Amino acid sequence: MSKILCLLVLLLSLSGCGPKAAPWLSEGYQRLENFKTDFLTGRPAAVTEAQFRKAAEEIKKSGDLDLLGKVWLTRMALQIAVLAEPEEGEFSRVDAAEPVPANRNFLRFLRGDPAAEEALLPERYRGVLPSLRGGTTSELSVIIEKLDDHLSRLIVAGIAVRGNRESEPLFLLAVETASRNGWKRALLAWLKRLESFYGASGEAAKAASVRRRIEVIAP
Amino acid sequence: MSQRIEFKVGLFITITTVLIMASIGYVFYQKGIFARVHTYTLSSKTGETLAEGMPVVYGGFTIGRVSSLELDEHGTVLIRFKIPERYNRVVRADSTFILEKPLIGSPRIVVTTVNLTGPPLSPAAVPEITVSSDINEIIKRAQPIVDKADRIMGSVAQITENLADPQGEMRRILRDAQKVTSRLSKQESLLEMAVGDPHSVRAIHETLGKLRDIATRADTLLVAAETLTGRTGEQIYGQDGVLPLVRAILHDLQGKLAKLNVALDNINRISGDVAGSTRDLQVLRSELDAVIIAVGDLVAEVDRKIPFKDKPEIKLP
Repeated sequence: MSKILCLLVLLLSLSGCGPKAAPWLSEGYQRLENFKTDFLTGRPAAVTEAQFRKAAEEIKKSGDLDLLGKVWLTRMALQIAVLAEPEEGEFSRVDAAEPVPANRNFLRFLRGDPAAEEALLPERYRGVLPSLRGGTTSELSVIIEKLDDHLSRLIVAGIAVRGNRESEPLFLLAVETASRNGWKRALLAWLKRLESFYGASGEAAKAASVRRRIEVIAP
Repeated sequence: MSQRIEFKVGLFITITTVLIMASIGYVFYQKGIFARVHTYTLSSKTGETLAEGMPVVYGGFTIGRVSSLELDEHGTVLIRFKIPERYNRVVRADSTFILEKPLIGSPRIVVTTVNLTGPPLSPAAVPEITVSSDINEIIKRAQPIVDKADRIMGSVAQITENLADPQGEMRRILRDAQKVTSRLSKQESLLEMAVGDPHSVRAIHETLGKLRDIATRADTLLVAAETLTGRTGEQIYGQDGVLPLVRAILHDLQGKLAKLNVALDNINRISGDVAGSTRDLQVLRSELDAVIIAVGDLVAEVDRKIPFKDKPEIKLP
């Protein structure tokens, strides 16, 4: 109880510091961050979806369709990062109401569409695009490893897998990234894909080792 | 005569009884006592905070209550709840059931249904309940802050004293950093290095040593400042606070060091044939690299530790 009291006092005093963001932005941002963490760590779908819905509702309060589009694209990117099928949700409606070239371009990038333009992508992805389109799979892994942002690494790795650019170093990098961040859902997804990859390559011993790891950590 | 009175009394009692029964029946009818009730079962890994009579809520309305709790042979808690016919339309096969434990108020089971026209939930189905605990969530997310709060109490006095003290660590860092930046910005030392003057090389070594010292002391101060809050927080983190100033100085240092790095490359090329000078410059070069990395890390750390410095920004992932 004393800790909660201390926390409330602390939060109240902290709320007096620094410039204030609009409540919808703070709440929307926080909910979106919670959604990302909950999604990647594998919390129940009902909880993660509730976080996402709340984030979208908060952004809708501002009527800022650019941000709303980004929220939906974030969801799709996370689905790709855990090797799930991306769902566009309301993005098409948002984009039809107010097209934002950068958002539409990011959607193309997520889909692996060759029409995606490098210049319109967030800066960290610009160097990755040529390797995604051509170059060897080992080069691609090296480029992805250079991405500082770990979520971006998984997103690009997911796009690479969807474009049939699979390789052992890519899987190991994705597994390592998910593992280091404690993103259990992503970790299990990549481990399962790695197991299938080993199985298909005839490396039964490695596949069995990955399977044992999955069995230990799976819920 | 007495028979007529007895008849009237009997009639009165009968009518009164019938009216009372009818009223009770009407109230029961209105309360839905005679309405058809659907019973559903949920499962949960734990029976903690679950109780008979707990409300089942849809869209903020209580649509039913938990009627019984049981433990099955596998150790799973079975939660039975009853929903009157008029609310049964909101319980569908794709409904999700979340046990909400709010910070304020009693726990409740919240039903969420996306498609109200979907197939109804089968009474034989046993969907699992999801737990969403506001208080646990808050405590979990706040635990690091609470830990910091404990440390705040111990360090506020020390920091405020340090900030106010003209000979304090923060003032010393600022003085030293200003001295070093002005020294590094002088072109003469670079020119002297280019001609292989050992004094100049030594001077740069000293400067680098000083930089490393600044980085270490600034790092120590950051650890303490991290736990600062309240009025003194404005002094530390505010627009004109000390941390943004340190950050600006470190950025300045970083820029100048990067220029120095390029200059060293050029000098290495020019004086490649002078053996002594080259060895010195190589050592200097590696030391410079180390300091650039250290200062860069420190800048990143300052950026990370200044809270509320920017508005939250929603960006593409």
